[in-house]
Amino acid sequence: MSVTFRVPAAEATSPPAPPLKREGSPFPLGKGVGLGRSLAGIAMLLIAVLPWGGLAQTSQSVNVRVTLVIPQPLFLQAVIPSITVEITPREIEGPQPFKIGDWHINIDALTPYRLNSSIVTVDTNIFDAGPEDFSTDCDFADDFGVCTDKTSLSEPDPQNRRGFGENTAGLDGADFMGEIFLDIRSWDVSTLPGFYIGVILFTTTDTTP
Amino acid sequence: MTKRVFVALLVGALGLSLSSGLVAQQNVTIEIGQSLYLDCIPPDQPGDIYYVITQADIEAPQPIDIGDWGCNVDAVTQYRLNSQFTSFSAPFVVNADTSDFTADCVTADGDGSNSCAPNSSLTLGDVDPNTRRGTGYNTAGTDGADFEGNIYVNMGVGPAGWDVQSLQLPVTVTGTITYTVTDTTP
Repeated sequence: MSVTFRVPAAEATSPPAPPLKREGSPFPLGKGVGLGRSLAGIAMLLIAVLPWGGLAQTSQSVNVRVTLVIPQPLFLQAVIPSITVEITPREIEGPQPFKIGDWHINIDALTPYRLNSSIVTVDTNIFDAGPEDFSTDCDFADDFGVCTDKTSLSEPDPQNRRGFGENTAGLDGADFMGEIFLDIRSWDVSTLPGFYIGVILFTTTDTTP
Repeated sequence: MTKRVFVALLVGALGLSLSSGLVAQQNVTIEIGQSLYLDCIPPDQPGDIYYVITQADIEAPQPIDIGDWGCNVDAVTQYRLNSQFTSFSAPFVVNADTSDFTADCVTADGDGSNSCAPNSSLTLGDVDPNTRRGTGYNTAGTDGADFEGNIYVNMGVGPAGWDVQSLQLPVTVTGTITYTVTDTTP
């Protein structure tokens, strides 16, 4: 049984950075100076203008543009790649469903998200074998991740939701772990060796409102 | 008649000689139209910062370094150097604002006896001294005071961290950092 994962595809665009802008910051000088003013008036005007001229020289500014591009806010990695199980008399005699393996997902996120998983049948020669025979649980979640109590691997969200989480910046990513179970009470094996091959798809989805 | 004319010419010549030899004047005017010059292009890179956030940046300890800054100041006065965001836009990133960005000052060379300041704020609307990167003095005779440092961003974590709206990918956060030198003569 293979386990795969799907990640939202996106590519960054890299427009050329605009040229550096340089700006002076002259303060405005006095306005509305009439030529017909008296000498006393002109003297007062000079007194008033000189401090402003001084301020115009005391500050200079330069602008620098900052551009951050986020092409992908969710990253998903399956830590346990595949599961292979051989059914023995012990599994047939044991309580159903029985455990066939573990799953472990790591998520790096810059957004709130939910984690879902579903199984898809690839090939089988067993009558009545299908996704509804498989179930799962979520036993552990860290770094702002939270498990749900849903177990379905064959129904849509929220029945197949394994958990949810928040921004993980600065952390090693949210780890979700659980077990996978199989119930073979409905199976009818008529051709040997019987086999079932399926793929479990893990999906993270941005849940930003 | 000839003698009178000679005497008169002699007196006139003496007078001219006296008037030009006793007084000499040379006016000197120095105009300083600008006492501070600022240029902010870091060595070996464009002045503007363009950074793409990767998975490694999300996992790395926050804040992460997104670029360098560098300013050269020519001064005939003492001054301080400040920088902060004067515009910012992050329409598709909830919880992102200029308080997530910080700067440090790593080096300040000896030209003008300048020195770095320990403050880190780049927050829009914040004031000196929180936004001060360094200070310095007259740099005449040198290639100017060089200040250099790094710019960081902290994308937060948990419910208060950045929330990128995936329907708008790729999401872009943009802003303008304004560097200002100011005369600090008392």
